This record gives sequence, C-alpha cells and structure tokens, in this order.
Amino acid sequence: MSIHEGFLELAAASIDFELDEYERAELDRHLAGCDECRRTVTGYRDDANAIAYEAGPGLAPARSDAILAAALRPSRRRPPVGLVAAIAVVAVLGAGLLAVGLGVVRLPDDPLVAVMPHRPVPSSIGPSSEPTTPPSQPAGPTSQPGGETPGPGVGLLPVRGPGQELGTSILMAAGLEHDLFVSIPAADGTVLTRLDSSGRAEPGWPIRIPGASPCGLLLPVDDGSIRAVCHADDLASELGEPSVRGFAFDAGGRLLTGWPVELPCCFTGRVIGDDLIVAAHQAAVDVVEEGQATGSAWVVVVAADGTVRAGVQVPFAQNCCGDGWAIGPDGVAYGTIHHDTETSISSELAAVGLDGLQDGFPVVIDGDVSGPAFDAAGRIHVTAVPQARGRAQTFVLDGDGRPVPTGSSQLEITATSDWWGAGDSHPAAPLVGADGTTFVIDTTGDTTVAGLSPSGQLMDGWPYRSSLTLQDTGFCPAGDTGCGGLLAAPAIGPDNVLYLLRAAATSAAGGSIVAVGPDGRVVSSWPVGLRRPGSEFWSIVVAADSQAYALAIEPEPNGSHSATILSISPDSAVRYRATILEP
Amino acid sequence: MELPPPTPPELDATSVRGRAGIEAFVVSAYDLHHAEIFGFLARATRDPVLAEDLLEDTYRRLTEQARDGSASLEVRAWLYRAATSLVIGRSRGRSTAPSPETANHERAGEVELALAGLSAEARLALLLSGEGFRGEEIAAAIDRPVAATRALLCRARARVRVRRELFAEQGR
Repeated sequence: MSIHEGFLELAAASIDFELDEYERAELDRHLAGCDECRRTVTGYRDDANAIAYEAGPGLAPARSDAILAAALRPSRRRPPVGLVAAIAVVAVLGAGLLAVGLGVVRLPDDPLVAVMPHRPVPSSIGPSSEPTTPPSQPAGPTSQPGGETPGPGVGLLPVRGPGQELGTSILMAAGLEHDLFVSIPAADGTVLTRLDSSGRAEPGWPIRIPGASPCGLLLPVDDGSIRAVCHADDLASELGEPSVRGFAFDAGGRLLTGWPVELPCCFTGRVIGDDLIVAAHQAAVDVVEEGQATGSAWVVVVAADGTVRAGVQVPFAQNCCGDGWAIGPDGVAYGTIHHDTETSISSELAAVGLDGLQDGFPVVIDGDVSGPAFDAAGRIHVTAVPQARGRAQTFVLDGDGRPVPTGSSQLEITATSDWWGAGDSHPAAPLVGADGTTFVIDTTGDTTVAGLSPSGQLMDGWPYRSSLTLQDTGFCPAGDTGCGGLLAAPAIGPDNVLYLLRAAATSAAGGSIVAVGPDGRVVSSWPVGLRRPGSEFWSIVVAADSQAYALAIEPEPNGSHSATILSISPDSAVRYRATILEP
Repeated sequence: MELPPPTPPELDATSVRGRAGIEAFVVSAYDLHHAEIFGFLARATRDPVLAEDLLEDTYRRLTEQARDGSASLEVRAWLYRAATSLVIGRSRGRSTAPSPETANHERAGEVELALAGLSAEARLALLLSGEGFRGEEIAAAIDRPVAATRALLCRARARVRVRRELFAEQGR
C-alpha cells in the first residue's frame, strides 16, 4: 500500500468513524500537499451523498396494507384507520392542518363509577402550629429597585388576610429535598417560605418580598434555589413597560447576586438548568388594521447571575398570548391562537424561541385547541374539539411541528375548559405525564376522565367517572357579572397517579381529593376529605417523591376563610398541616 | 407549503401492553418507517419482490418482540438492524445477483450500478451509512467487528469511486 492509499483509506474511514486527533491532523497535513488525494476524497464525499440521496422504489398501497396485515398475524386485527397513524398533513395558509381519521375508541360497557365514601382526615383542620422557625441567617444586603430589600422576618406566618380572596394567588412548588416552597400574597408584599418535610420553615425562611404581590411563578431549581416572578407594584404598567420582577433566592432564603430583574409581563415560565425562561408579549400601541400585527411575543432568558437575554420578537395578528401558552423543556414558548368564525373554529399552535418563530410553526389544527402540555421527551400534546362539546381528540407534535402518531382518535367525551364564569373559554390542556400518559377531562355533568397510554390508546379501566364535580376556585363578589375563576387544577404524580380536587358532595361536608391510579381505579385508602362544611381544596402539587401538597380553604368562625397546606403521602396519610393564612 | 413528511420520531415502546397496544405500536412503526425500510431492502437486494417478503419478515419480528415485551426503544434503528440481518441471512449461500425479471439495469441509476458489484455486506454497510448510521452501529447491524467493518467500508468506497469514475468517462 502506498502512502497515498493509506491516507485515502483514512479519508474513507472518516466518513463513518471519528478519527482521533492524531489521525485527523496527519490526514489534513497529507491532503494539503496532495491534489490527487483531495480530488479522490471529494469523490468519496460525493459518492456518500449520492448513495444517501438515491431514493429506493416505492411500495404499492395495496401491497403495503397486505404486508402489514401479514406482519400482525395471528391476531388478524388492526386498529381502526386513523387510530394511531393516519395523520395527513396538508397545506393551509403556510401552516400544517392536521386532518385526522375518525377512529373510535370503544368505552367499557360498564365503566367504573368511583364515588367512594369520604375518609375524613384524623381531625378537623384547624389552626396549626405556626411554621415560623426563626431565621438563622439574615438576607444579603442586595437592594431591589423600589428601595426595600427582601428579607426574613419573625412572625410573618401565618399571613393575615381573607383566604377566599387570596387563595388563588397562593403558589406552592415542591423542591427536591422533600421541601415545599410557598408564596402568599400579603398586604405589603409577598411572604415566601420554604417548609421542610415536617411543615416547619427551613432556616432563613420565611422572607418578605416588599412591593411584590402576588407572585405568579414559583420555580424551584435543582440546586435548592428558587426563582419567583411577581407583580411589581412600583413599576409602570403602560404597554411595553416591565411590570413584573424576577427574584432568585438560594436554599437559605438569600437573594442571589444580580437579582431581582425587571421583566416584561407575564407569568408563563419554566426553569431549565438554572436558567429562568419566561414568555413575554405586548400589544401594539397603535390602532392597527385588520390582519396587521396587533402585538408580539418573545422569550426572555435570565441566567443564574441575573443576566437577561431577550429573544427575537414575533408579531402576531390576534389573541396572543397569555393563557394557553407554556414553555417546553426545550426552552421554546408554545401557545395556541384561536381563529373563530361564525361557522368554524381553527387554531394555530405557535412556537417562539430565542431566535424567533420556530421552523415548522405555526401548525394549524382544525377545531378549538387547548394550550400545550409536554412529556419528558419534549413532545407537545394538545387537546382539540371540533366544536363546543364535540368529541375530544389529542394531537402530539415534535419540536419541529411534525405530527407524532401517538395522539388519540376521537374520544367519547369532550374536553372542557378549566375556566368558569364570563368570557371565552377553550379546552383545558391535557395532563401529560413524563412518559406521555395523558388525561383528558370532561366536566359537563359528571366528571369524566379519559386516561390515554403514551401511544394514544384509551387505557384499560378508563374512563374514570365521578358524580362529584371538580372544585371551582376564586371569589366573585355579589353582583359581579363579569367574574369567573378556574376549576382546581388536577395534578399527576410521578407514577401517573391522577389527583382530582372535588367539590363537596353535600353542604354538610367539605371538599375532597381523590387519587386515581393508572388502572383507572381509586387508589386504596383515598379519597381524602375535609370535614368542615364549606371547606374546599383549591390547589395541589405532587413532588418527585410522590408526596402531595394540597391547599385547603376553610371557613372560619368570623365569616372569613383560612388557608392551610396538607402534606399527604401516597397512602393518604396526612404528614403535616400548616396554616399559612388566617383571617 | 406542504410540510415535510414525518421523519423518524422514535416510538415509545416502554408502554406497549395488551393486544391493542401491541398492534397500535406496530402500526405506528409501520406507518412511520415501512417506506424507507422497503426502499433500503429493495436497494440492498436489488429485488423488489424479495424486498416485500423481507419487509413482512422485518415487521413480523417487531410484532414478536412487542408481544414478548422486549420491543426496542429505538424502533428505527432496530428495524434497520433486523432488515440487515434478514438480507445477510438470505444472501448466504446464494448469488446476490437479482433474478432476470427483477433486474433492470437500463433503469437503474449509476449509483445503484456502482453498488451492484459489491458484496451484500458491503452494499448494506454503504446503504446503512447513507441512512445516517455511524460506523459502530453499522458494525453491530452486519454483525462484524468494528475494525473489520471499517476496512470493509473503506474498500467499498474505493470500489464505488472507481466505478463511478468509469461511468463518468463512459459518458453515463
């Protein structure tokens, strides 16, 4: 073998294998001085491309069907056309319209009706021991715009205030150390605390964030720190001006250097690594003509040191953004924009990253489409209904906007909004577990939940039905006709256990939480109910260790309401109760 | 604007349970990948009729894997490995020349003609490379050591280069 042949072999090998540094350097040096070798290497690359781009022959559709049928024998049964795979993509106005076959999922003839007797907690929820361990470390001296410094305080908890009016603004977020972060709006700011596994405040907590009320995002970071985005009372709220502020505190309650930061509105965000990513939008200041951009959306990334990077702004024609948007695990803001006409409704799923509108988006989906939810792989799940109370269907897309054939066929239930009260409403986003297990909820009449496997099939034992309605939250003063609120959001545990917060069955009882297992049956020893009449569960979060934290709003003798956190183990045992708000 | 066809999002095989789940999984894998696997088989065997048989065998193996609860997490890669194994199994002890009724040299492109003179393994290795698999994956698919696969690929590329240069000189 000549020296040239040896290097040509190396060049050929480099197409399929990584060369080590020495090989690469030697090859480059040789090629630099050998014109003939360079021509041959170029030819190798050309050959490789030609082989890759040469298309093989196609297969006749009839043969294709026959081959699939034969491959599936001896079961001799195919799912209905369109059940899994018949997602046709056609061009509509520069975006993909998903036209999906009408496969039918047959429901069990005798679905499980799971209304179980309430299992009261051991004692009535009442004033608890105050989780106010005195802070051992003072907050750092960093000041925020506005003059005051977030800092610890004795006697911050429980916060004094009316539970019904403030309850929807109480946020809980489970940390990784069996801890729970809680933000509570207070008269002069927000109280932020970190509770340990017994419900007591960790050293350094609680702290008070002056001039920030309420917080709309509470996002724990793997290193034990927390990011919070809160209204900033002192900032201008004119169009385009920042009106919220982001905070970062370490595990001991100390404000991190570089924070707080001023952010554009609003409260769609996610933590990835130790970056805070928020979706921002603003309306156009000037009056615009129909079809013109009426606003724009972009993402903002705030690094752990408080450095803010704003992405490219994407103009939108209508109804952008706010509700129905969420940040995916890839840091891209996904959201649904609805186009209503008198006869039809269609929706566009948009994706906005740091570099602007993402390739492959927007994707047009026929019908009224929910906001997005994500599995651990970053696939985007939405629920669509063709018209009000129409049969729901889930769609799954990859990060490039391409359909993934794991959406469902049309279900025998609809998907309802999580909003009650005045104004437009759209289907609620599906609940999606890490592996893609998906729950679609219908609250028309009874509560019905379809549990779908990661491949989009109705799972054995589902749908789950309960005659109890989901709890509504919020507070409408008498005579306020434009008022509304959200149904208490369900949650999924890491093992795909679904937690539903339900209204009381009678006026003599309180609300309850039911845990439904992946088999569609109520988990043994659940539900957990509140004993006091008029008491309600308004929110729940589930930690990575499957511990659930539920917020109970309970009537007090003075006519107002308190707010109490219950830590509930998977076996329904209540580990602690911590009252965080008292009237 | 027509969106590009869905390409290889990997299926989630971790939850394939029950008859309906298995069928749905196989149907999904078929709809996603059968066209490219058939094209690969037809190019590898140069015999579309044989390729149809091998496509059926490939997906039958996938069905069996799913029924056994051992479906791979990387379905596309698994399908190529299975198809490669089937082609190698068929080629052993047989001529790789296509049957007269299926060989159509007049219609074949010069790339296919350049590949035609290679052994079944070498052709498979180059086609797998064209499908985006790296050398180590190709070695696993054709069940040969990595070093031997590297030598095989180098020789194959050199032969293809010579043949395509020849075609170019002949004005093809």
